[in-house]
Amino acid sequence: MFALFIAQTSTAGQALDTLSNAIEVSQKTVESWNLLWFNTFNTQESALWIALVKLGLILAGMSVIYLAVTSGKEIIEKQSWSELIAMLIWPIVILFFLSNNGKVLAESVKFFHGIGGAQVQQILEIQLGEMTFRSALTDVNLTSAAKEEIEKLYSECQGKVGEALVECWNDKKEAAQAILNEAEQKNGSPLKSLQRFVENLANVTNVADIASGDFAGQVFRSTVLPIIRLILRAVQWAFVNILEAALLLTALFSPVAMGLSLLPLQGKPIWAWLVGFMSLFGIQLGYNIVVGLVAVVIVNSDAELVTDIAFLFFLAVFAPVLAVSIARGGGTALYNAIANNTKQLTDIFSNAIGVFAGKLI
Amino acid sequence: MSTQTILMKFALTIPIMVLTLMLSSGEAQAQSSDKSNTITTVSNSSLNNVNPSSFTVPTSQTQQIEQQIQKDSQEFLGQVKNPIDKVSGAIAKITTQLDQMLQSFVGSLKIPDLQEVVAKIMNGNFTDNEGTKLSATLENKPQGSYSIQSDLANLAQQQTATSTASDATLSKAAQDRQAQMAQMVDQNVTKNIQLGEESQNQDVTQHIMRNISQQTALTAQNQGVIILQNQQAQIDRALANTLSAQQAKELSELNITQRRQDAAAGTASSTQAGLFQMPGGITLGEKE
Repeated sequence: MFALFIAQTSTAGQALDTLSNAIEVSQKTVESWNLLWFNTFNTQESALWIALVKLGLILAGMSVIYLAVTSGKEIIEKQSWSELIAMLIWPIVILFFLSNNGKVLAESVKFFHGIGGAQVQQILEIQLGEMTFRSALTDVNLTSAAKEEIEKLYSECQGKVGEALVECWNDKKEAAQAILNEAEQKNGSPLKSLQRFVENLANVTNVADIASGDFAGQVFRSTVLPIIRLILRAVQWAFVNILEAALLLTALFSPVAMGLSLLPLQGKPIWAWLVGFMSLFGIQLGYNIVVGLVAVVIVNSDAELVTDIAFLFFLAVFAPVLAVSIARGGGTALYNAIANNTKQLTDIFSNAIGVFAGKLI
Repeated sequence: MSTQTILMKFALTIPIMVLTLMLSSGEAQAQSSDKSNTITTVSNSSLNNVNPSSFTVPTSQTQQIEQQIQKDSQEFLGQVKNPIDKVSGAIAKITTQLDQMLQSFVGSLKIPDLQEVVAKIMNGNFTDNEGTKLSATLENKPQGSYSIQSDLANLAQQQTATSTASDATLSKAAQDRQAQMAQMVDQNVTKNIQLGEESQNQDVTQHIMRNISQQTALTAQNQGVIILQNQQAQIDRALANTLSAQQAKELSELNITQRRQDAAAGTASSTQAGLFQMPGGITLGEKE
């Protein structure tokens, strides 16, 4: 009996330790990403960035030679200052961005990243009714995680019958209450669905709540269920982190895009790069909005427990697909608009400078 | 009553008394022979203690009885020892490396010393076994593992039990032997009864003595069969217990494995729940 007491106390004491540790790991992951951004775009020490800037400069140099060979002769024959200046605008701009180990470009990239990141974060703090997207998400996820811990706790009683079942069941009450308290402490506010669930576990005769997911019998589950949850959560984690990785990778290609922007292509690669970079923020933004909205709906309808698995599917599969689809369409439209208008804008700008320079000379 | 009649009665009483004394002596010898577990000795000693001259039994007849009993005893011993010999015979039929291994551990009763077999296997003395090597390759454990050795140890116990059960009881040869033994015991009992009945109707002392000796030998034979059967039953029970213990252990391991898998899946899922992140670096429960 004493041993049982120790075991029970230990379980109650540990409560959500696994979850807490994982949250700490997750926070460290976020810090690691920030550190990675800082280190990667350190123009004095980041060998990766310096190497990519050199590659960008090489590509820019090759592009200048190509332009000089193809357009230079014609410009000299025409003696058109405006065309000459128009031809030199982009090399000057590129030199400006890529000089000093691409310091200006690195700062620009970090600037865009900062703006985009801030917008993505702020969207979760938007107040919608009594709660923000973020509080709703925390509520839903903590309820799900705490329910899982309670399921794990009661799984020991799954094979028992008679007095042994009653004794086992009653022994878990305190530990379940401890899990609830800790989850609410982490949430910073009461978790109503979880409260009802724990109350129903203490009062197992309450069969009326079977439809709401609070029914005590739902504490017993198949071994497969944690595996399904694990897979869905892992997919969601992978999606979020692959977006971060994609942002960093895209940012790293900025010198190459800049170097190739000298070539007389339909659209400048740097604009394509910028659109791609911003589209990734668009995906993040869209994902946060759609997930936040659904979380608010779930919390408002007190359906945290009953939509446990469904919400995980939404987080891991449907929301990413939706966010990517919308961002892809928006990104393409944005790119076309920028590419067309920029060409016209650049032509007007270079013509104006050419005329002005011609008059001076 | 006349004196003559009294004398005649006295004269008749003397052989009866002598017979009674001889009978008690023969019984005592038979009992001591039982303790020595040697059927041949029983018949020999009981017969040797009988003084042939007292009963005027012809020497040739005594020798004939003695020879008959010895012959029966030899046949009997040959028959009843067969099942146990056949057990070792089964393992002696070396078809696999495991059989060879088991053969090297057989004891006096031709049953492998399972405890020693298991200990040797678990100490890694049979890692060159083909089955073990294949298992190690398939499970990607080239250095071998505790589980693979445990599997081989279990297999050795199962094979011993199966071989013993098959060759001592279930095989056709074993069934034939059992049938022969049953027939022999049946014949012994029938003969025993016949001899008893015959003795009741006999007035000739030497015939009664011969019958009693034969009956004693037959009874001893039957007792020997029972002892050997008991010995075989003890072996079977031991093997059955070993297998039952193995089953209980496996069941327990299955339950423990399932429980641990469940707990591990739950913990992994909880950990992953804690790793929840949203784009922009938002984590669960983080309060600014």
